[in-house]
Amino acid sequence: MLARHAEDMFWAGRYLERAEDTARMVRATLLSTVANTPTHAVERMEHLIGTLRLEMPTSVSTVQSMAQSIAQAPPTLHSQAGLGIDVQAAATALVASPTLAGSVVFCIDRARENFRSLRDQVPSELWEQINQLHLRLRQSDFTATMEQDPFQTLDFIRVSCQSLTGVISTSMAQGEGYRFLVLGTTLERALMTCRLISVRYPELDGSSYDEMALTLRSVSALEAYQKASRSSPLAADVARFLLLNDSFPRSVLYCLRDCEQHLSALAPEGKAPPLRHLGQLRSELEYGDLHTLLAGLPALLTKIEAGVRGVADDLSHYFFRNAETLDLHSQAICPGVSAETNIPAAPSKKTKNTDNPTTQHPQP
Amino acid sequence: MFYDEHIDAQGCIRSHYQPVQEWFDRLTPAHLSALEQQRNESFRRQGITFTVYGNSEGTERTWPMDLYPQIIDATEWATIERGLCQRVTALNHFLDDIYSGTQAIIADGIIPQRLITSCTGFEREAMNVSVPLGARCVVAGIDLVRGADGGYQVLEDNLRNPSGISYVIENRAAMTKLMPAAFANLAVRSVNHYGRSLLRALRSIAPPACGDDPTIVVLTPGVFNSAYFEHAFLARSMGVELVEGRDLVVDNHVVAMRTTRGLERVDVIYRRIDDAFLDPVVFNPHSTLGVPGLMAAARAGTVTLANSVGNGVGDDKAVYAYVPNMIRYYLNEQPIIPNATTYLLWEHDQRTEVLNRLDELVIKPVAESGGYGIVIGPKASDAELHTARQNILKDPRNWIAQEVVNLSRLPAWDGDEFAPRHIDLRPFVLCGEQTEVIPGGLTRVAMRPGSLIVNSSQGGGSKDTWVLGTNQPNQPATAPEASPATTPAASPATAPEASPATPANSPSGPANRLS
Repeated sequence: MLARHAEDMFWAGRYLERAEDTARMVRATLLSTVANTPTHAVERMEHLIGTLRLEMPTSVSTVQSMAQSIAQAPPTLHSQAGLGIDVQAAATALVASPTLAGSVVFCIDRARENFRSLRDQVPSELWEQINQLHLRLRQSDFTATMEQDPFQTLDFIRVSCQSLTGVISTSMAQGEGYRFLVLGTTLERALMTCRLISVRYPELDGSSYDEMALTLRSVSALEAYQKASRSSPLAADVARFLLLNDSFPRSVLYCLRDCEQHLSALAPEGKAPPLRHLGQLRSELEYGDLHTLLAGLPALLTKIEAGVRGVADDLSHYFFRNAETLDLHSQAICPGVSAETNIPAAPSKKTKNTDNPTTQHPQP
Repeated sequence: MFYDEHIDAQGCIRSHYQPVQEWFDRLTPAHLSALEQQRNESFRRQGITFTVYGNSEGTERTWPMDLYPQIIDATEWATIERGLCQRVTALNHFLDDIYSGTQAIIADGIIPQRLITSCTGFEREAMNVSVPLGARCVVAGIDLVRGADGGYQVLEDNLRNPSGISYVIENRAAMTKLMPAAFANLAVRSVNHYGRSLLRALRSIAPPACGDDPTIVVLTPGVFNSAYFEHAFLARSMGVELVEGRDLVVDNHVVAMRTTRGLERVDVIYRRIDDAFLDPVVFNPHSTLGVPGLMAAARAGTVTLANSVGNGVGDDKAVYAYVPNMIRYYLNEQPIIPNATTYLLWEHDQRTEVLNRLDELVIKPVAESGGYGIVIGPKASDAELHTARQNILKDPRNWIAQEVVNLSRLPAWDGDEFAPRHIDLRPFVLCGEQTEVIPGGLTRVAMRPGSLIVNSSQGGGSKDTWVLGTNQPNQPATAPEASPATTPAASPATAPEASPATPANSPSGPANRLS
């Protein structure tokens, strides 16, 4: 397939996943603030913003809030985060702000733009679905709806994203394009779970059920965790579950395995750099000593995050940019005059920093 | 005086419109607006939109399709079909004669040389670039109108990048969903095979050296082009890649696309980028849409471009006046569908006559399309007529004049009622190994009362076009239940239901079972 199409597929997958994950996390956070002290609520919203690695713009404070400030940020938080934080307003911005890079609306917008340039590649059903979601999110009353009825709105977004995933897995040919799309989805998912653990892990020490539930619910893992673990929840236990569980589809290990499977189908020659790097990362996680892993958790998470970003860079280099721009002057442009025909294999000049899909994808 | 498509001189509904008219007669205004709403939602959801340039408020509009279809009966269509094949075949002969033949038509004095060389669409870069089968125009869109006498005339040829076919197919898809019952028993001919037919035509003009499995791509300017929807549609329906200029490279006269596995050779490019932007080496050097070296590759014969470069010489409105002569010259046949009466303004006598009757005629710039720059004499202000006169005197080669064709009328829903509106028809012709006319085409309708301007860029709408099959019952379907006389009298008189009233799943059956 066209390198450009492969790249658009990958990013469409990342944006879709980011949108769904963000909606999930906002929902879990809001849910946890309902019956909590204002200070806690603000703190949790900050964690969420940290997980999403977002710089909240100052305009957040200007977002109209129907439910007037559940929490007023104490001055210390003000200076730390630069936010006149209003939990509701922040949640609304994370979901509905079209200008906040990384908000749900923004991600769906980008996913749609990518699918738009893929209209000959993806089933019409998929295009209609994303277009419909996009149109709903851009309706003028959407922000108000989010403010008035956040839970229902967030559920709507989750269900819409899931039905997109459904269309993808049930009516799209599972060829190259599909694999790039799924690669984008699972890499993004691994990244988000990873960040969630690193932001929330320090909070789990007190081992209150509430903190535990928020963490797990952020990736829809509460029920799966409760089934898998009979003992009363411990921080290390939760971290291990989210990191290493081999049947929960949002655990980091599960995502990396998934990626690996698709990558090896895409690079039949075997030792393609992205596959090699991914394989190293995954086996370190899979076969590493549990105690050592958990003992050095923060460092490990940083390493995985960097590793996942590296794989995304590798993908870009290996699949999306493999053909360089030809030097026009070296080309024979008259018939009969022959020229060297091989394509220079110089490394890409444009290196993509794939840290955050919200800022890196070139705008069309 | 207008020809009414659906009413005859006696004021009766023409027979081929009767079933549909009856169907519409049964609808209440509430039904109709519900259908319209359904239609808009469906187009919006599918993103079937078009872009209006230079329009500040929301440049993307949903596609305007009127619910009342244009219907063409089988006999009439047969004539149109023959006429279009004849015309496009002659035009292809002409283009090939000019660019890679001996220019016999000039040598024989049928068309003056200066007319050809003064065409803006005449591309010297295309000289002696040959095209397999001489199929320089693979896709043609011929604009037909019906004058007051009811006869069809050709108003314009579009031989460069005629667009609209995707709307033909989407209109049909929408109509089928919105009003399936209206199609009943009419044997409306299908348009859905267009993608396959286009693919076959494109395969047939692949460079002979590339073997029997040529790689075909559609080349688009990108998502911001007004016809992007159509480009994607075509690529999808042919099952080929939709590429942009930046996806292609030319290496030693071979065109290749950048794929995830390196470069892959391309044999046929159905390009939807205008000549001027196709190749910065020989055309507009600032074009970033095109592919450097593409023309050289086409010249070397490693790739075929469709439609060919330089087709503008065939749809120049001054050359248009000579098409009937081309048909006589190349095919030795009489034209089946005539041209609209046209005056050439560089001919002294014709110019004088036109300038005297400027307020009665239509003045068109020769190289424009999309309805831009047209002056309709009877409706123009004095100032507009004055400008037109100055323009003609300044550069007579750039303009033609035509008698006003009073386009035929057909009802269209204006929100309150069905009212007559003027229409034209753009059928699409495919040329490869064989020449094929897609049954129907894009019916365009002027939505403003009395307006003759049908271009969608100028506020026109569209209609689905139904070509009826030959084995037409042609009688108004009076009694649908014509078959067994044993039908119980108690059965409802409405349309026969297909589903027998099966009892719901028996509750005693085992759970979780599928037949």
